[in-house]
This record gives sequence, structure tokens and C-alpha cells, in this order.
Amino acid sequence: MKTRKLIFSICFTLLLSGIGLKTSGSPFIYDGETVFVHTDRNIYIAGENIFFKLYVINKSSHKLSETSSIAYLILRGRGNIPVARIRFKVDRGTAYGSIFLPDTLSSGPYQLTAFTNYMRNSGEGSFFSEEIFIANRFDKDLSALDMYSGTSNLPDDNDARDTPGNFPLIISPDKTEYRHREKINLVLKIPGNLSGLQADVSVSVSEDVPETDGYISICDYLSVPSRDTIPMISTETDGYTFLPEVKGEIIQGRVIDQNSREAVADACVFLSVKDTLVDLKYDYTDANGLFRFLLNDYYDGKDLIFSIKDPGGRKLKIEPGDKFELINGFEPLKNPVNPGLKDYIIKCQDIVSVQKVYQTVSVKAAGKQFNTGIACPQLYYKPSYCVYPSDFMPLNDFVEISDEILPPQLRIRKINDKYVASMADEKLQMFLDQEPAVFLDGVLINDLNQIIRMGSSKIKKVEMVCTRYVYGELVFPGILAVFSTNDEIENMQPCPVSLRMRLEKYHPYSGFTPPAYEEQYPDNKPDFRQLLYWNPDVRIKEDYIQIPGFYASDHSGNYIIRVEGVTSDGNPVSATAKISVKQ
Amino acid sequence: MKRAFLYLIIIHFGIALNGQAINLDSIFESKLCGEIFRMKTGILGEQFYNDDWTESDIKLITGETAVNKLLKYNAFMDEVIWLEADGLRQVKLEKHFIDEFCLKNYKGGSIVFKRMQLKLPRMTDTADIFVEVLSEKSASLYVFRNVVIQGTVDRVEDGVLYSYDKLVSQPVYILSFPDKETVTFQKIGRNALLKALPNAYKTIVTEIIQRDHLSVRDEDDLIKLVSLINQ
Repeated sequence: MKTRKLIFSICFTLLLSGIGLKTSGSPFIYDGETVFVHTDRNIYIAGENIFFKLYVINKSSHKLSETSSIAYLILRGRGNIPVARIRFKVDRGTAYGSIFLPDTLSSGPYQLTAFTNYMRNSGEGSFFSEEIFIANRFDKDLSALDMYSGTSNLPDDNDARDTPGNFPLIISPDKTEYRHREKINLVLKIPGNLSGLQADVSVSVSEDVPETDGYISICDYLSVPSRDTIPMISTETDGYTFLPEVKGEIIQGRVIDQNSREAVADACVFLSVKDTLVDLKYDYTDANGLFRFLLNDYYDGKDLIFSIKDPGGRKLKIEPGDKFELINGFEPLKNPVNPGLKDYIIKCQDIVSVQKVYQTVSVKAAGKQFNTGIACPQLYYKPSYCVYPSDFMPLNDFVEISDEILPPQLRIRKINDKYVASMADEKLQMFLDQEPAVFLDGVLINDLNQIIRMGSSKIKKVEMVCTRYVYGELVFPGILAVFSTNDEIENMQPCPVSLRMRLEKYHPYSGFTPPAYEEQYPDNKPDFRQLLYWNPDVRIKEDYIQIPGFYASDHSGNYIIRVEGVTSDGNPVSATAKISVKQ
Repeated sequence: MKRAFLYLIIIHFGIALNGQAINLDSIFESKLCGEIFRMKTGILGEQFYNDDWTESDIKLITGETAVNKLLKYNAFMDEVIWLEADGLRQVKLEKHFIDEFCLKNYKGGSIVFKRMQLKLPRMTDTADIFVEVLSEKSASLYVFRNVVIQGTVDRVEDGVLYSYDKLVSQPVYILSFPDKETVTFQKIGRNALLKALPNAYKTIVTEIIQRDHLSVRDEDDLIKLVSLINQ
């Protein structure tokens, strides 16, 4: 009897848990995610670059996550002023690049925050955040240093989470002491008893900051209990407000009534961008006034134009969701600062000034290619008619163009000082009652009067689809698409309720290019780099990997080699070793 | 026992808290587009490949997939017709936005049609056509389920004379070889096939036919021949 009950219990649980089979059109369980960022250092001088690698990690398995394809990173200072707000394409759970720190940044603590859209469901407490210190090159007083502690914003508890232990990676430099500009060879080894595993790691070799112990490794980070705060889970689709960006960027927003500020349900929101083709997407708002669009690479770097179909006399407003909005303000930690740090930073300021003059270090684009589709969401393939006004005598306005050179399937009449159009359905051989959908430069404007003053000089091409055209659940009584010679859409509001939003381009992957002294490099050019090496893309596939040789700089000091990463079986990798450079 | 059951329930809710089921395909369902379909009348014969609306998946050029749509393939027009969920409208889908479609559970199996750009016999230019996939490997076999008008038939109905176009099936077979060379032929037969083949493949195909004592009389024989070429 007991055995039967046990079998029943197991079956019941498996039934409850097994709804996430990944089949087309079926629901899928996406595991939670967390993000870790490995930066090349944690003290910078304005004018330098922050090099970083971002790891998106599955919360359950601790392997690199395959869920989110996009990650977000914000660098902000005191007063929550953002220095950088960037979005990355994540490639198999990792992304890497650099942020240039403008020379004009004031000295002080800054916060680096990273997250995925899916993590927003768990609140900002679940985001990765690290405090770094940036000093202005010309600020020798460094009064802001009093507020700096150099630690990550992790909670002060020692309750270890149930995470796999640190993977014991061995860092083997060929020597422990190097002379200026001497070649450094590094080998990363997986211990014999763990051979066969693979790891994706990033390697930094930078000057050891004296008397600071605030560095948080990936092992420390993953061993801290979940930092989920107030969950933003509401009654939205499938229980989530923010969906995982598996196939591309998800843009969402709300439609509200401007007077009552209440959410508007069942409003049809259109999305189109300026183009030489007519492109269109639409979505209906849900009970919370929320709409969402899944965007492919076609939209990258373009101005998104949202509009609402038939506001019906209501004063509606489209409120876009801001993925970079952080509700919690940045409050730097206030811990006692070590006395040696100020001298160290002043030395760094001098070094960066010299490096700036000689341009010793450069950032190199990694040229990473992503195989994603850039297909345009075209509304129609081939119009019924296409007319180029430049092929005819110049005409003053669109009424004349319609009368003189467009096919008779388009009829324009003036009713009560407003122009209205109707289009004939060629198959039915009759004019349709409703007005056709009107597009200008690929964007839905839905009002002929906006283009009625445009003559031949302003119109490049007119396309007409003379039939009732179905798009999803919508039926357009014909389509009239006008393409201007001078991007006229940029100077007008497409619809009474519309919104423009620029979708910034994905941040490019970039790497660090130190000088190679085997190649021709002027001997008289000083090289005081404090960052000797940064390689964000090291894949350990065999039992060991030989890191390509790099060179020590002219700057004597102690350097720390840090390796952070994740193994193929979900173990965090964190290892350090020390070397020194002397004359 | 009770404790074991409790543990299992806790494990389940642990999984549920970590991740909930989300159907992204249904949230971001691809939108199909095309013009309202009007069926050609005054014809005798079957213009549709599938008589009944068949549940199908459509792969679009954007990489998106529209699932479980009711489709009919109009072989006469070489167009895909979609019956909207509410059954109110039939839409002739924009052919150029479709990469392929799959009629699921049709006659006990799934039939895949692909859009292909091909120059058909007796045509001067290439055209976008939907071809049924019979076999697809390094050597592939497709068939264009072509339906054409072959004469007219006059009929008197209620004392009125009507003239109907007579539709007949005229399939075109497309054999694609590993080196991407493609041949088309309309009749199935050993001689017709060998005549259509390029010289490089004539010997190979003749050897296969002789070695396996293969008769080339119908589509099944062609599929078998293609699978032997792939071996």
C-alpha cells in the first residue's frame, strides 16, 4: 500500500512539473537567471576603458544560461546620473566589451549594474551590482575617496547558498618575476582528477591595488543567498511582467487614459519604422494596458514609431517601458578607506596622463558575428500599382497627383474641409466604403490630410494595394503608401496618439590590445600600463590552455592574475595568482 | 509516507518558483497576411490539394512560425489559403512571405511544401512555386502539384448553357542532385527519367535501376530511387 502511495506521489509530482516540455507552441519553463560581471579592475581613471565580461548564469544549474539573448548594463554615479546604458547580445550565456569613461567624469564611487529583462521580475535586488571608483585625472585632492570602500553591494550575511564549490583551476605563469617589457606566458590547468571538463573564462592581469580586499569573485557572488527583492510578478501573461528575451528584444509599454491615468485595455497599438518598405506590427493591450513587441535585428538602431488605432475621442497616452530605469537610488557604501589608496590613485592619474599622450593602449572591436535574421516585417510584397511622380509633369499637391497620374482605383474627395480617400477592390470591381490604410515612408499615418499638400517634388513613389488586405486579425480596405523624397515622416506626428522611441544599437563586442614587442614598436615610447592583459574569451577545452604570450610594461609593481568563469557542468571558476614586474 | 509526499510537493513548488511555464510562441504569434480569397468558379475538377481544412504550421521568411492554422493548398492557383479562426474569412496568403508550410496529420502523415524558385518546363522565366517534399537529403525529390485547364465542358443546367473549364492534374517532378544540379520531368517512367538526367548521372541511375531491379512507374518508385542515390 505504501509503495503504491509513493508511486502515486512521484507520478503526481512529475505530472505537475512536467508541463515544460519544449515543443513548438507549448509552454516552456524558463529557469531563473543571475548575472555576474568580471571587470578588469575596480579602480579607474577618467579617460580609461572599463573592460568587462558578463556571465548570464542559470540559477538552478549554475551553467551558462541559454535563455536570455540580451543583457543590459548601466554605469551610474552619485545622484543616479547614468554614464553608460548599454544593451548587449548574449552569446551562449556570455557577452564582453568595454565602456569608455569620459575625461570629464567627476571623482567618486560609481555603480555597475547588470541584468536581463527576465531578472526584472525578481526586482532590482536580484541585479548584479558592483561599486567601482573612478577618479578624475585632474582631481589631485580626491576628497570623494573618503566615501569609497571598494566592495560590491552584497548583503552582509554569511549564509552560504547551495552552490557548487569553486572549481580548482591552476594558474601557472612561467615565472614570478619579470623585467620590463618581458614576455609573460601563462598556462591555465584543470587538475587531473577533473579532466574532461570545459570552462568559459575571462583573464585579467592588472596591478594589485594596495590594502584592498573588497574584490568579489564569481564564487563569492554565487554563494550568497538569492538577492531577489520585491517581486514584480503580477497577474500579467503567464504570471510574468517581464518575459525572457529568448528570440530577440521585447519592447513593452502601457496605454493609459491621460485624464484618469487608468490603464486602457484592448487598444490596438501599431509599431512601424521609417523605411522604403511598408512595415507594420500590432498588438492589443491587455487588462493592465500592457502591450509587447518582439523585435528582430531589423529594428536595431532605428526610430520606433508607436501609434494607436482609433482612440475614439479618448485622450490616450503611450508610455514606453524603460528597461534602464532603476527605482532604487545608488547609495555608495561608507567604509573606512585605507591610507595607501590615495597615493595609489594619484600615481594612476599620472600614468594615465602619460598613456593618453602616447596612446599606448587601444580598444579593438572583436567583430563578433551573430546569425540572426534581419527580415523586414513587410506588410505586402508587391503593390497593385507603383507610380513615380518624377516620371510625369510636376504637380502641385496629392489631389492633383491622384487625379492626373494615379490609377482610378484611388478616389479622393473633399468633405467638410477634410479630404477622404476610397479605394476600389479590383476583384470585387467596386469602391470600398472605408478609407484605405495610409502610410508615409513606411509608417502608418492613417490620415490622408497629412500628405495632401505634398506635390511631385516631395513624393518619390506612390504604391497602391487595391484589395481588402488582411494582416493578422485586421482587414485594411486597401493600402496607400507614399514615400517622400526627403523623409517627411520625421517632421510630422504620424497619428494623434503616437510615440517615437530610438532603439539604440547593440553595444559592440571589443577586446584589449596590448603592445607586442616582438612586432615593431618604438623603444622610446613609454608604456606604463597597469593592465597588462585582458582576455574575455578564453575557452578551456582540453586539460589546459596556453594563453597567448603578452608583455610586461615599464611600470614596476605587483600584479594580480584573476581568472573568473564557469565550467560546462555549472561550477564557478575563480582563481588568482601574483607576479611582479621589476626593472 | 506523508513526509515523503510533502517533500515531493515542496520540490515541485521549488521548481515552480524558479521558473513558470511561458508560451512565447503564443504571446508573440506571427501575423499572417494576404488578400481576401475568392474561389474561382466555373470550373470542373479539383483545384485544392487537400479537400478539407487541414491544421498546419507555416514557417515565414522572418524566421517566425505560425502554428495550427487551418490551410488548404490551392494547386490550381499555387497559393495557400488560410481559414481564419472564426471561420469568417478565407485569406490567400502572401506567397513570398512563406518559406514552407506543413499540413499536419493529412492522410495519416505530415506533408511539407516548400517555396522554391524554379524555371518550369515550357516557361521562359523562373517563378516562385510551392513544391511538395517527397524526399530531402543530399539528393532530393520534390513535386509541383500543378493543376491546369485542359479544354472546356459545356453543360445545360436548368435550360441554361454553361461553359466550364476542365481542370486536370499535371504534376512536375523536380530531382535535385548533391551537386545542386536540378532536373524537371513530368512523366514517370524509366526512359523519360533517363532522358531528363544530365550525362553525369545517367550511368549512375541506370546502374542503380539494373542492380536493384527497380521499376520506375510511380512516385513511390521515384522516392525509392532517390533514397538509393543517397546511399
